[in-house]
Amino acid sequence: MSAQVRLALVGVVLSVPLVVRWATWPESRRHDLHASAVAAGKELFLHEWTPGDALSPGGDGLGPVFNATSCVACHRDPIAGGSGPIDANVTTFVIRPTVADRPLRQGVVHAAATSAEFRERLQHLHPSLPEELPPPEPELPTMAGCFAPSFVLPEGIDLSQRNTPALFGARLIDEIPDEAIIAGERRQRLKWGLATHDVEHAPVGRALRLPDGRVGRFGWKGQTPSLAGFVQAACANELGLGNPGQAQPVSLAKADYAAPGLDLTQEQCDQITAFCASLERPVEIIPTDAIERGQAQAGKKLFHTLGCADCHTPDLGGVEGLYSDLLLHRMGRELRGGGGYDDPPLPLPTPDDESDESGPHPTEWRTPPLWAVADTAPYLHDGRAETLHEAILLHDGQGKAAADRFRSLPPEDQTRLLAFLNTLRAPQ
Amino acid sequence: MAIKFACRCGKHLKARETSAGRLTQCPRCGEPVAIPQPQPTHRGVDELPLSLIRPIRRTELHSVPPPGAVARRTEFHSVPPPASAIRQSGGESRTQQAKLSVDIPAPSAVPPSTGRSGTPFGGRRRSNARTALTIPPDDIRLRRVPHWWRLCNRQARHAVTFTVSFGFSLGTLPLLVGLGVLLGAAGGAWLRLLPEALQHAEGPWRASPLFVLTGLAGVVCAGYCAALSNRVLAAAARVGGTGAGGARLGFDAAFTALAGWIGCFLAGPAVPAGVAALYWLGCGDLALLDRVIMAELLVPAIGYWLVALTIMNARGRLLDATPARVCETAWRLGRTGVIVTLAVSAVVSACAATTFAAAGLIHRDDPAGYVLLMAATAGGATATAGLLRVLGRAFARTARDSRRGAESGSQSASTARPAWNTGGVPSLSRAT
Repeated sequence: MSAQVRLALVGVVLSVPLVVRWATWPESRRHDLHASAVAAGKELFLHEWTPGDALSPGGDGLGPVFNATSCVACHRDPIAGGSGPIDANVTTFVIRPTVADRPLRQGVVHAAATSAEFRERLQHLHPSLPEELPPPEPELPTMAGCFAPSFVLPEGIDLSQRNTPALFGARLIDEIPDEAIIAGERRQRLKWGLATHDVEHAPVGRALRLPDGRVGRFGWKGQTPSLAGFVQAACANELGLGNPGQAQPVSLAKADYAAPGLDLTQEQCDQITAFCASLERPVEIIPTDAIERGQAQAGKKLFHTLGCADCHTPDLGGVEGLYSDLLLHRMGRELRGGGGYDDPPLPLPTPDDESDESGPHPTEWRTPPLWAVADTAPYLHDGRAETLHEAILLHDGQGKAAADRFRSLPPEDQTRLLAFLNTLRAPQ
Repeated sequence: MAIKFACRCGKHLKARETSAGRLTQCPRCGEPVAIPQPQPTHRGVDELPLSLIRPIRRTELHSVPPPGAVARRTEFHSVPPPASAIRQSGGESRTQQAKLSVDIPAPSAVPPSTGRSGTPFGGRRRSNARTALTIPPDDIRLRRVPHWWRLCNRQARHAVTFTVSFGFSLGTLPLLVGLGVLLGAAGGAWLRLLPEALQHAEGPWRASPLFVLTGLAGVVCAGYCAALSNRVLAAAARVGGTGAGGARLGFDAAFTALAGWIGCFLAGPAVPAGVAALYWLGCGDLALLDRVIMAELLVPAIGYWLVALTIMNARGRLLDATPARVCETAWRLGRTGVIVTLAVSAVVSACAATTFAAAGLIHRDDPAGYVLLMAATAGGATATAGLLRVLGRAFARTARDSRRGAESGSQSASTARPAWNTGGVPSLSRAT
């Protein structure tokens, strides 16, 4: 066999992996929207659900436990599909087993029920807890989402609240490839001296890998990998509408209740998803006034120099103006909050389990996209910050360095940065 | 007519006849080199032309010490003896190649030379010539700087050279291990300080002196590791007296070696390595297929790098490591080259994985991370140097075989092309 033939054979053998990889490269996440599906989905999104609703002939309709009677009841600011106010917060819990061989529990303490026998109370989680969450203390008006300092949780129990996120541009987020999110994770690790995601002195995030290999991107914990999954989980947990993607929640008060069937069909879920995907992306509105425009431009530079852009990455996976890396970042003990409403629940990390395969840590939060941030108050996961200024100052953990730099800025520079953030508006 | 001679580092030098007997500085290694007297072109011609016996210059007279005093202690380095000298002196060439340190007496105190013994050059005429040169003129440029600075500079250089040479005399392996440990410690500290430095309001270089110092220490350690590896490689790859095996180990040599390694990387391997890095960034979680593809990119890059380093050290010039020569050399190295490349790739992969793991521990302020990183760098440096030695020996062997083949070919075919590399690998296109 001549040298040329051998070389050719080697070339063929070496090119096989490339060809196979090219052939098996993940297909695009893009999908088309049909106007009819969007219109039907809008009706479902705005629909006021009732027990035994006519739109859910196979199931029991709304409930038996729920947080709202329609999607738009929470996603309403400034328009349908937007964020929700503080009074639309959801209370989540996690019960870590204090005794071995006891399963971990997590879920939602629902605010309402179709009947008194299903009504959920905090005492269902632990006898020492009050019946309901205490109201915010008046001296902490800006910390509306926080629990009062006097409210001490029993050992092994975490309660947290979630503010309603806006759904603008959700389709673009859904279409970002997993590889782009993982690339951001690797870039951050390389940039910050190979630091890992479990430290707080460097803004190194991590992509949440789900058990099926997909990367989470929706939800405050980044626990949902697709818009369709996010919609189905919300329908089940917030409205009690069981669907093919997720069953309706079992009431803490009456665990033996079984729904007669699914409340939503797959087609209805797809229609709601299509409507959410059709929501326009937020826009950056440049002020027409020269002074305001100059301030906003200076603020945009400050946004980068202060290090805000380390996590709130302006562009990701071909989506411009997202201002998020969609990674989980440790935000410090002050912003601690566990729990979630995944079914089955994500495996939560134990204190000595910090592997990438574990679920989100209580202090980990997905970087929220900043587009439309000017119109989607309140801020942070539980809406404890009423203004952007407060939200920045409340950054802790991996965001503390940037917050400290913002704090040390002269007031006029702080105003410039806020002027830039105020250009990020919801679609009109 | 110019005098041609060679420095101990292998650099070929030329000087005018009028400079014979004076000291010059090697442009590559910086060592002082004595310019030899012109050698007779025919056996039996023992006298030098009268024109070479030059008068002592006025500047030299100024620095002549009083009679009887030791003028200056200086060092002479090996000069390849001329063929005639080897023939005349029999087995003295090895002695002549040794590094000598001689006390040069003042002109008036020079006794009549009685032979070659005790001098690096030998010969009565040469002794007289040395009388004329004897006082190596101090560098005129140095006279412009303060004396104390010159003294400090010289002593510091001597101290560094002595320290490194002393360490090297104990053996390359312990030195490499020590440098690897230092590199790991400095690198670990630098990685730990990097986040704070990057987030510092006044820029990373003003963050803390420790950050800058650890960075510089890491570069210096990496440079010395490169220099030592070069030394190992050059010693193994030396063919026919060429090679840079005697390279000095000062700061400049360390930085030069590091620059050589970086240059060899940028001259070719940077392309596939860059593609591999981009692929790693963009391919998501690594599956087996992704690892195979990255190996297909990285292993040739590492192989190219190693061969380019070998050529650079054998020839003494980075520019000699052209893609064509690298390909030819890699082809000639054959199985040995492939095995060494795979082994170095495995070492690099293991070191990279260990570094990632160690960095995670370091950022969690776990001292085990430093230990792990030091073990990785020390092990990687020594393993790579050992594998480079294997590669260098294979290189020398193939070059020797090629030369023999070329010589036998030239006897049978007068039209055969000469080898392009007298110290390395001949062209593939030669008649075989």
